[in-house]
Amino acid sequence: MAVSDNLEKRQLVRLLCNEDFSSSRLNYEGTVFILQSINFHHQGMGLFDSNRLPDEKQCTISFSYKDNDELIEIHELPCIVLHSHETDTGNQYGIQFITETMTPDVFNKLLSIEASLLAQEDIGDRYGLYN
Amino acid sequence: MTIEFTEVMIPVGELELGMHVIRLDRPWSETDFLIQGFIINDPDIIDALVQQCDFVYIEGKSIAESEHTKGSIPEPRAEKKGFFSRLSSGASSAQKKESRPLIKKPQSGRDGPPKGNKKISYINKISTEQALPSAKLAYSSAKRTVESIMDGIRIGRMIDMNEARETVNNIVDDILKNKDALAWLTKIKNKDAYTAEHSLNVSILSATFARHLGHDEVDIKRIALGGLLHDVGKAKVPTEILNKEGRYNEEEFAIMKQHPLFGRNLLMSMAKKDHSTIDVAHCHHERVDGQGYPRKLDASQIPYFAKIVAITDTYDAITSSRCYDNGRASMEALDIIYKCKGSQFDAELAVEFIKCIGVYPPGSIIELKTGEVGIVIETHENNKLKPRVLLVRDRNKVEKPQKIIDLNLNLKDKSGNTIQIAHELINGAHGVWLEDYIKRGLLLHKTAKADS
Repeated sequence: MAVSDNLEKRQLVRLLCNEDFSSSRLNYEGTVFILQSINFHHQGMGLFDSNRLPDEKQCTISFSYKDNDELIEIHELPCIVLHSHETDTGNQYGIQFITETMTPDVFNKLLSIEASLLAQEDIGDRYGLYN
Repeated sequence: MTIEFTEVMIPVGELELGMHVIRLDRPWSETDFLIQGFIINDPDIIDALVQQCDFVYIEGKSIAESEHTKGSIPEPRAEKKGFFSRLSSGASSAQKKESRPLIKKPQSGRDGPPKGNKKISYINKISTEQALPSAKLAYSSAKRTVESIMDGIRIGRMIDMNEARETVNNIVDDILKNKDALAWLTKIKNKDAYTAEHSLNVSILSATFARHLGHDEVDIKRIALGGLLHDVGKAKVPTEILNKEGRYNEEEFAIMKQHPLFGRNLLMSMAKKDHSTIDVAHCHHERVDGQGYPRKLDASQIPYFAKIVAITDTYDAITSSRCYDNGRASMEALDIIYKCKGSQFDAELAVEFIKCIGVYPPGSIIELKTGEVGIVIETHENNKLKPRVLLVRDRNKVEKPQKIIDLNLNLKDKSGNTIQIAHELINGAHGVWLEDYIKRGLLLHKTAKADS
């Protein structure tokens, strides 16, 4: 992988999935994997799990986010496993949501989640360890 | 008798070699000095201080005999033990506590980080600039040792534990003097030497973390040795699997997952067994939720030192480049550790590790929101997201005269916005190679002018 490839994917904002963010459910034609939601952007997200995903790129993803009293739910959104970093300590995956077939409603939900996470992010204390 | 360390104000005309300068009469950022706090080991440093300061503060020692200690054998102060005591004073008691690993109880001699007056506070005794030459030697020597150990196992040789301990002693001695210099070196990832560098990096990170947790020197060395040999079982994995480019198939992955058991068996076959090292090799892939491997131990059964190495192992694995993929940014690894606290990792240790490392550790290449590119040269203990940064590229990514800025001062850009880090970049981005700066020995104050 060229340096520029790796550089590019780090340009995206990575908003830490907080406790209001559910784990993510990846569906490979009926075979379901539950992964830890790590960080989020309206175009995709980072996932982690000790088990490996199948060696297939396309699947659907489901997760939910509690924004104050509103529960935003994403169901079976088509996505691509764009990057994978599999190690003996666990497996990290970069998921890209497929936007071509996405309805405006789903897109707005993704934007709402991103806006809510962004509003809560403390750039000086990403993990809330100092306040 | 007690020895207290105090600040002593001294005119620059009275400075001598060997004095430990801990504060200046003005902000560090207004001077050419890159690292805060250093021992004067060169007359040029005195000249530079004379030119830039009127007086400085040095570390002074006062010796007092208190009523409490008169006529009795003094207890060594826990806070000072790490600096002045060596293995001879602490090893016997620590080793006596050590016992055979059992399935039901952690057996690494410790159940958790030291608390209260058992916790040792460390400070850097020398600057990163001064520590780097020794750190570079220690790193390359240790890397050769790890490679020799792994190669030796493949041809049936026993592990030379004395050599491994000597290597760890050198590493820990350097980390006790300065925690940042070796950390810089762990940021350079060579995908062709992954297994050896990873073992060494985990040892360095584990020792740095143990120092942060306030362990004494004896325990820091035990933890570092566990880190160095945690993956020793991988020497029993066929090299064609170990170095495979591309994804492991299920069979290969299953073989890889046997390395903790291979490592345990290798270390158990030694005539003189080191049980805390065996525990770490065997248990560093166990998880506190009981879903780890090879034995699915629950949290109370996982040795404490193995819980430490589980975190440092993951951090280095995520940030390392492999033959099939480039490593990820420090923040991504910390996101994972944070999100998996309480499931994969011990929650308390996970939080402490994040505090220890910080999102942008020394040696990180970063891009500011202004578009400028720089290298983190040191972090502030209380705000690691706002480090001191050496700027090396302008907003168009063109090389610029080096300048140091301290983000903790909440500096503003031309539009009045606070200057912040946008994200970390990988080594080599925009032509900024960490190796080049390390080769220079961090002699940046010759060329870099601090920004006030």
